[in-house]
Amino acid sequence: MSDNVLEVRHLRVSFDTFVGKVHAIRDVSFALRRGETLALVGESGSGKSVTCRAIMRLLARNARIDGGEILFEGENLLEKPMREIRHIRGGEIAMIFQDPMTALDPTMKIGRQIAETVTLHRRVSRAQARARALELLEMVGIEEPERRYHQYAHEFSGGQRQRIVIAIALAADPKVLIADEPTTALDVTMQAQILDLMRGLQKKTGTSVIFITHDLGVVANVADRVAVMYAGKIIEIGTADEVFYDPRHPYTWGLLASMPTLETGGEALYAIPGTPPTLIDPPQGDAFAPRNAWALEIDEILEPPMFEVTPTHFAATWLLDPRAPSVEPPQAIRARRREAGQ
Amino acid sequence: MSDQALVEVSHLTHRYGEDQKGYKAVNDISFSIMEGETFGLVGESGCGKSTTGRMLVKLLDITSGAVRFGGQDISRIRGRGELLSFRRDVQIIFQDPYASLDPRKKVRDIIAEGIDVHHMAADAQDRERQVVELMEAVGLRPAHMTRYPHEFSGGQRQRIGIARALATRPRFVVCDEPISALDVSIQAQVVNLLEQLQRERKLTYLFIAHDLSMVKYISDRIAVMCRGRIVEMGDADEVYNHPLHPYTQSLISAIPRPDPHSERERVRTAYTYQEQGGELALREVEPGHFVLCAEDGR
Amino acid sequence: MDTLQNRSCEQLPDTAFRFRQGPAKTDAQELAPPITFLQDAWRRLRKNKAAVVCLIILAFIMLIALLAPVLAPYPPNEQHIPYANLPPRIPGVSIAGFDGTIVFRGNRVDRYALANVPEDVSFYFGTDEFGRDLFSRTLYGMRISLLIAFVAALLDLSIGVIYGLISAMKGGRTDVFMQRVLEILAGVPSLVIVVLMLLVFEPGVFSIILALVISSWIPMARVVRAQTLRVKQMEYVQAARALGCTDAAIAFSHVLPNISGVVIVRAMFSIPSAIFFETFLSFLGVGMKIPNASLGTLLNGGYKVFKLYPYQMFIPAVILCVIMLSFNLFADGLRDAFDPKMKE
Repeated sequence: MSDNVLEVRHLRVSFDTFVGKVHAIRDVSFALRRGETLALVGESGSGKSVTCRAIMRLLARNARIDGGEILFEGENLLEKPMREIRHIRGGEIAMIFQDPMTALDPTMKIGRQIAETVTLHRRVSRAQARARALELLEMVGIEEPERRYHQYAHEFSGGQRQRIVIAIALAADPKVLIADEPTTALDVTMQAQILDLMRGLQKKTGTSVIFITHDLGVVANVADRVAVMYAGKIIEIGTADEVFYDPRHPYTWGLLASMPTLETGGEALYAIPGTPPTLIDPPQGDAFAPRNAWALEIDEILEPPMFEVTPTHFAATWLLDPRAPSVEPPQAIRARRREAGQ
Repeated sequence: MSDQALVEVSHLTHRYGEDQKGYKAVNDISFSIMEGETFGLVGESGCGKSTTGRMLVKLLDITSGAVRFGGQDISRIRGRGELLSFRRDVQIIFQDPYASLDPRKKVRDIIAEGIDVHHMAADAQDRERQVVELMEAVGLRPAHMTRYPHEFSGGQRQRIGIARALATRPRFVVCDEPISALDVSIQAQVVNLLEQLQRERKLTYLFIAHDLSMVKYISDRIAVMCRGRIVEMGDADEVYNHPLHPYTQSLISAIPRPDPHSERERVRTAYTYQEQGGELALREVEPGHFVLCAEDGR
Repeated sequence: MDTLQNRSCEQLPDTAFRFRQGPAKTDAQELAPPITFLQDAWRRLRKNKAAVVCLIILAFIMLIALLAPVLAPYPPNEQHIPYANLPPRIPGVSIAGFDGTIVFRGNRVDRYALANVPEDVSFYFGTDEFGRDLFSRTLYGMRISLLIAFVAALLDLSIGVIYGLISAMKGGRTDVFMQRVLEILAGVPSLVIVVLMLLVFEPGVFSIILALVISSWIPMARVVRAQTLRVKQMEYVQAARALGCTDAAIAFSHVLPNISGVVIVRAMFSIPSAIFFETFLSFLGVGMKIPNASLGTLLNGGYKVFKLYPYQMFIPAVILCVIMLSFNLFADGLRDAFDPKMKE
């Protein structure tokens, strides 16, 4: 058994639209290790959700996988028939979505919804399924599971609904859990509770988690490793400490520097100029170059490869090439380095 | 910032539903906003912060209490003339950059709507000139004025919304979660733009948001709302560094920070709402720092 | 993972690693060429083959109905008893059914020869029991159907839209009152109204239109009201209000343009039911005044002699089906074109 439970290699996905072919994923590779949480961070349109929908084979009908492999336990999911995929989906790989209300059936008691997922993937009797559902409800922190078992989705608050969605996702003991912005629709205090819950559950079950979010604060909370996506590519990947305290890509610099911390005040916020490119005609060279204050001439000609910073830390920027001039990151980033050094 | 209060809110209440049993979305809140300041209103969804903002711009009726703008009680505005002059002075920027622009109108006509309503342009040429000036002021290319909103990105759309609000040359702008629907890298751009416009045009802001770190950054003073009431109010730094109300404490402890070390060690303070006995009122604990509490302190 | 690309960049000149000269092109992207809402809808409509075919059929039908006085070979009400009940004959066509012959007691006989019709006189759709040319009558009948369609759409767009708009924009008690009135009107069966109207008026187009005035626009008023309530909640309407726009200005400059797609689609869907309503009334004998032709009276005449002369009913029935189907499919295509989200 290898260390990696899931591996995505050179994945390319495009969408056919009226305006043209949108290259949503342009050569994405990463590996998910056993028991870790990998955060995929990026803005809307960066391709983080599409990547995960490709893994689950849940892409829209106008999507095309142009190349690459998705290896789950060494087997390429892209070559499997849908029949097998359906078995893996929800069983071996489970998914949590942003909006808990649409993930739950409003006309079915929530206890039955959980029990049904259990029986779908495991050979158990009805009584066993029921017992397992109650156990799951308790595990995700729903009080009085016996009574709540017979209630409907609308009788729960937003945070509790997300807990139930998590219970359903965990029903079949999945090896991989994909969480697509699971806390974005929630209030901060509710978000904090759900994040605590997910971390606790992961410690208990050992499930590997891919956590998709645009919120770097959430990433810092949950992630062991972080992959930053921009315009359909991973531009920086490393452990949480490496990405947060020693980021190398100018885009990561910009993201981190543009968030006011509780200490920021007075001076204008650092802001990345411009807007992300549309991926209909991906620009020549580095997609980030037009917004990059440290852009080199080569950035406009050739896409940078992944440069190795440490064996766990890679970044796709020409600034890491030995021939590139050395640059000073923005003040906020230097402060981060100092902080980590202490 | 001056000592002159531009907006005074006293015992403002909004009740949904007709009768006395209706749910109080905003329950007896009082505060005032000084000329030239940014007043932040923070709270979680359903706390009544947006309802408050809509009452201040007269998009929602006031159930009881009063809002005075420049000394005038806004619920006593009578006649179209008085209403129009209020509308000119007070504008609002919305949260959703997709729903806040009419998809069937060109950018030029969206921005010029206020100019048209208030007959602020001498002729078509003057109208065009004002639109160009507004687009430049918010960082849009005037060449794009004949485009439709759906051709723009979220951040650009929010700039169009800002230009529309500025067209009537308002004094007071309610920013109703103007950045929460935007991407991280765009949020900073819009916040910087709002601050720059405030300096250039001497604007007073009510900044409504649930993102506490951004509110703290942009605001001079902030009020924290919970269940229709203001639970704590004071200088932005003061409220963040020395929160007194348990709700504020739990809110601040819940903000995720982009800092793995502190995230791994942090302890969250939970807050459970309970009906408290006694007469609750905002009391000044320290100069300028108010907390909702009973007579005896807590 | 980077070996392949690295090899090629070994050969890059060092000068490429200079900082980019000049300012960053922050807004380098040009917006896509402008495209209006209607252009967008038209582009989607064109992709829908069925809708395009229906549009062409409808255009063709409208054209020949408009040109009926020119195209009709005989006056539609002119009787010529000796030529009664002749089957269709189209010169040069020798398909059974269109060559003027019928099967009578097992033998194929030429009805035209029996009736002593000159060789150069043909009735494309045959004749009815009074010897009237059915082709001419069908053309005039289509005129009536399309007139009804036009009136129904006009009523929808005038009374229906204005009623729904006022009801939703005013809101409150006005809305409640207007909705109750609507429910009362909707509760009155239109067939009864038309029959009652026969006591006062002559049967004819006028009473049919009057019946349509009473009830046909009600679904439209409801749709417009629902859509207006939706648009009223949108932030751009709130923004317009905050800028000082009056309700009337908001209704005309924001609400109407944004519900126009739904309104057009709804009007297109109400057309076939209005056409059917007229046909139905005429079939029952309470619609068009005899001897004027409409698809309904043609069907009525044809159905009496269906066993003997099936073509008399068959031809108007097919034409009615084609018209209704075309309107329905075209409206369907329009709906998908205006609101692609509804389909997916």
